[in-house]
Amino acid sequence: MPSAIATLRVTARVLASVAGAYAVTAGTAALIAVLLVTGAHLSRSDALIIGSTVGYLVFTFLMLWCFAERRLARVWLVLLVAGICCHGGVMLLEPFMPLPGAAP
Amino acid sequence: MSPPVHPDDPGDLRLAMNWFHTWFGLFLGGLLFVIFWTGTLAVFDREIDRWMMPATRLGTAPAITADALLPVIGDHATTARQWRMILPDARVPVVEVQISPAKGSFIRHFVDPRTMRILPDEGTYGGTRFFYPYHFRLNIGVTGLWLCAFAAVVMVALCISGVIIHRKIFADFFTLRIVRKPLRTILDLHNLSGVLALPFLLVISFTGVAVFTFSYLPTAQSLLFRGDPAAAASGYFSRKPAGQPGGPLVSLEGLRDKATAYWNGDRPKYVQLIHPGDANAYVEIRRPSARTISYSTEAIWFDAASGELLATSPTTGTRRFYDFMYGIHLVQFDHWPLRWLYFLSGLAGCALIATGLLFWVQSRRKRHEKLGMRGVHVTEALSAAITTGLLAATLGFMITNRLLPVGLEGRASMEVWAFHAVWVATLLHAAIRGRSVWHEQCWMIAAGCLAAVLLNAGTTGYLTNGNSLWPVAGIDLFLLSSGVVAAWTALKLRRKQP
Repeated sequence: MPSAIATLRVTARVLASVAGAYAVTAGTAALIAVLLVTGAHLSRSDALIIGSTVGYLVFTFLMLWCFAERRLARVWLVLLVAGICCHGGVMLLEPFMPLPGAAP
Repeated sequence: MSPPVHPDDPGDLRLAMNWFHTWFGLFLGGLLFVIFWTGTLAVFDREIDRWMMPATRLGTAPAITADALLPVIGDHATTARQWRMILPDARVPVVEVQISPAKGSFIRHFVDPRTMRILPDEGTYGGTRFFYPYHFRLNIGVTGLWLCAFAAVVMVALCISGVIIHRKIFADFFTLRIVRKPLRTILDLHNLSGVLALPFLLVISFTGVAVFTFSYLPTAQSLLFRGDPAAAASGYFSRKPAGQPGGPLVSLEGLRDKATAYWNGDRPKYVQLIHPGDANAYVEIRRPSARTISYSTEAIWFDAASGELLATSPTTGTRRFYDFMYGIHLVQFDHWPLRWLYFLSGLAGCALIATGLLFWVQSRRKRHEKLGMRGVHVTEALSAAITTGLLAATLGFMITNRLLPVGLEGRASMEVWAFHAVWVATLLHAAIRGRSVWHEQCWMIAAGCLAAVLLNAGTTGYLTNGNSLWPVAGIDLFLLSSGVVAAWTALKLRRKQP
């Protein structure tokens, strides 16, 4: 493999493990928090604590997985699909969150 | 075992994790060392404060009332925007008073609880305002916060990948090969410190990022609180000033009594007055947590004139879980053996990172020399500046503190300048001196430790003032033993070198 392409592929993988994993993490944390507020009627600050705590775990494991998976294309594909799913889920669910004052 | 040259190359999970561990460890190792070292120092931040602020080295504080401190605050007590007092406890023998005056800049005083006199300004950031914030934001603001949080996530991932790489984790636990093969010794030290401190490293890195719930994942936060901005205060009470003068201040000690009874625990030491003198003035008292692992984020609010209870923080299971994570990371409980264990584990973390960097350098030295590559030289210089250089800079900070006269304009920032100047100097030294950098900087550290102890004895005469001996003597004893270790290391390294 020419070394320029090899360098590009390493860069793409590192980018996936940092920026891609972060984007999925931010979406996952938001999705969990919104689900907890909408479904379990948790208070918003409690939902945020749980969502973020789980989110940081997700970040760590995604970061490692980006290297455990050998096929670079698959790494990016999974991150893209997961990112679209969680951010999309948040956008769909957001209008159903209880209004201020309605829930504890 | 050599890692794959490229992460696309075929290989099992261990090889893939090895690539991650090698390169993420190399590029974030320096930042992680800085975070671990300043965090380790911050375990004893109050004691470092006493060392660097000789006028606050007082004996155990007598029990004092919050009301007795009002004369110290003076006119500000009714005119300031807000003020707070933090009463003495087992680790801090002085009262801290902070005032945000109606006009002018923020005021911070230490008060001697026996005479109720304001102590002269010590002109230093000490441990609590230099090393502690450096630990999570490198004292460069928001960028530093993000860098440190990212480093913490990578640290958790490095721990996990390290365990996966490690083939015989339990067998190697008892292995330390000191003889003959320095490369093997470095790797064994890396493994030993990593495995011994693994639970600590995992918990401290994870809680380190998790306690900043509200900062690093702004998507969730803005989404949740966009529709309900009031909820962002998460149960914190606040009200705006009425603009009319209010009644006289109720007895603060009475409010402390009420708070103590409400929490059924220790007497709170944190009392804050918001909009003093206004009709809407109110008092915030925070829950003390010296006797629990959790660091409580609970507070209670009273009307400042009537003493009527206004609100208390909601306590939910989630909140208690958060307080527990917070407490595990912040170590604000009074427990000396545990505090020392945190300190030693922190040092183990520093050793882990330093040996990791050294292993990268040593295992590539011959190959790089043969191929004429510069990677090893650059990494060695940077690693030395970040590990031994940072220790020298810390000593430079403490020595400057004992050399500059109290009362000098801008004294606190001069100490910070000295810290960074020494740090840059060690980098230059490392760049020039090549392999000799290690033993030469070890001698610098040994000399710095001795100088700090001698200067402290010479300029403060603490030996005759037995009031608050242990915090200060503890630091001096640690400095002396570090000096011995540094000198011994320097001698050993000298002998090894051709």
